[in-house]
Amino acid sequence: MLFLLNSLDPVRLDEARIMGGREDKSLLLYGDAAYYATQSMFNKLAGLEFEEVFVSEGSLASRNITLDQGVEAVGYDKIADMIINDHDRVVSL
Amino acid sequence: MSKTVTMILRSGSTENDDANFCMELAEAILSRGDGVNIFLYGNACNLGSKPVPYDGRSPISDALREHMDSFMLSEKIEGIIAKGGKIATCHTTEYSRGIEGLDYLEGVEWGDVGNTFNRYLLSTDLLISIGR
Repeated sequence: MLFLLNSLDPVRLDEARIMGGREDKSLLLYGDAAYYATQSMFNKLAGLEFEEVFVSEGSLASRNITLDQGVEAVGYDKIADMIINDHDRVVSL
Repeated sequence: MSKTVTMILRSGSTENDDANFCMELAEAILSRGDGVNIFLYGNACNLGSKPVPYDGRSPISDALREHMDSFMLSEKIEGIIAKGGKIATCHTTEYSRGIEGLDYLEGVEWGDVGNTFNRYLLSTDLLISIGR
C-alpha cells in the first residue's frame, strides 16, 4: 500500500496509521509534506512503520531541503512507476 | 497492458504546488504509454480556461510578472492533451467562481461530476485525489 501525502496536517498521519494497519506500507511525500523528509521532522514519522519513505524531487527542489537518510528522493518517472506498478493500492491522504 | 490513471485535482496553480505535481505526474504517466484523465474540480477549475489578457496599463513589474508566469500551467495542460491525456472541468465549480463563460484551453472539455467524472471512473484503473 502506498500513501500519498501533501501536507503537514498531523491528522493525515493518523489516517495512514489507521488505514495502513499491519499491512506493508510506503509513503510518498510531496508538496509541503516534503518537510517530513528533513532531519528535524523525520522523527514524526516514527512509529508509523513505513517500510519506505519517498519524497518528490520537485517538491524538494522548490524548498531547498536537505534530506534525512531514511528518505529517498524520486522523480516523476519513478513516481508514475510506483503508483502504477509497484503497489496494489494507492491512498491519497 | 497500459493502465489509465484518473486524477481529481482540487487546487489551483498558485495556492500550492499540487497542480504542478499533478501535471508533471500526468506527463510522466503518458510518457510510459499509460493513460491519464484529469478532472479539474473546485479551485482547479480555473486551470481549464484561457488566460484573459488585461489591455490597460498594468502595475505588475516585469520581475513579478516573470515570477507569476512560472505558476501558469496553460501550456503544460495543452501539451498533456496533445499527448493523449483527457482533461475536463467541473462546470458547477466554474459557475460558483464566475468563470463558466470563459473559453477553454485547447482540448479542455466542459464537464460535470454526474457524467464526465463518472465516465472517467468507468475507464480508470487508479484514482488519485490531489488537493487540500
